[in-house]
Amino acid sequence: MGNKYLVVLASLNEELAIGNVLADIKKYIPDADVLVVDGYSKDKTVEVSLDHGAKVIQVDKAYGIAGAVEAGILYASQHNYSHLIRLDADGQHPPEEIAKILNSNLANNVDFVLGSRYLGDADYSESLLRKISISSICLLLKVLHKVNVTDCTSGCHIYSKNLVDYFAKDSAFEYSEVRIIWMAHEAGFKIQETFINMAPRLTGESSFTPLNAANYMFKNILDLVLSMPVFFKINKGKNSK
Amino acid sequence: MSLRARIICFLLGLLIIALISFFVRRRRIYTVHAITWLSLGVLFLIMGIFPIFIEYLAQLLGIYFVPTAIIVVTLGGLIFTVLHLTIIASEQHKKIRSFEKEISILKIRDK
Repeated sequence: MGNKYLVVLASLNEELAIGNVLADIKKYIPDADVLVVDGYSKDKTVEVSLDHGAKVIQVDKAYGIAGAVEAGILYASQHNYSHLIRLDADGQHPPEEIAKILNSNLANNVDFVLGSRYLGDADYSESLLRKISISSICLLLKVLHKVNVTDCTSGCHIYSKNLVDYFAKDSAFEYSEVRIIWMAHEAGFKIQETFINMAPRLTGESSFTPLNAANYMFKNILDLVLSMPVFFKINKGKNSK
Repeated sequence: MSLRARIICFLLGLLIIALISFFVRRRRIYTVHAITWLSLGVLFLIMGIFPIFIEYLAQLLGIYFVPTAIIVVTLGGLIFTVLHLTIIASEQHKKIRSFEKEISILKIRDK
């Protein structure tokens, strides 16, 4: 297969938003297949997605967004897609912006494109607490793993086939937006950040609550500290099944 | 170490080994998981038969009341067993996770 994109949307109870997102994707990125990874939503997310011509798989929500994206990575690897585009299903990342990125940046050999809302003037702004947590995780990434990114918790990632294959083979890999950044960096993939204009969430419920945020922060910081490349690289040679 | 303590130690070792072998033969415990438990039982047997080891260990650790060293050894063995179980649990976690992904892909829906 040639230049074929797979868009992975992880969704849970997003019946109001996902229709528009799917329609926009069809409009702006017409040569992309869409895979909706649903966490057994209670509403009509699955039916709406199927109606819009998306493929749907269901991963139990106990595995969280991590399990969903990993399933997407596995699927992309099995079906030889040239790029995997991981977006939020709530329409935060407008597909027209993604189309711009796809047209401009994928010519050069970049394995990992990261959509950052801080590299320009985004319409979307978040609470102070959230800004602080994001910047502190970014600081940790910079200090401990020597990766320079401005928006490490962004949900807009584009992975190349090499990167997808690398992580699909790694059975111990547990996805998180932050972890994949330093693991990709450690494995020697080229990461590039570009600006993406994010739209504010219109419908549905965000998974961002103070308790979740504290949990998220704690897990990420623990993960970053434990995985410090102190004497040797951590995930080297441990990718066998 | 008193004779009574030695006998108790020995019997405890026998009990652990008998219990674990019973479960292994009944296929309630897989052999891999039985290894740490059986080693713990053997450790008790050795402590009962040759108390010289435990007396030496007590001296080495600066423990004046020798039977306390038995508890130290037991604690060490149990910590090791739990660690072994944690590793096994993590392995299983990993496997179940990848099964979930593979099965979800097999059950893909399309219109």
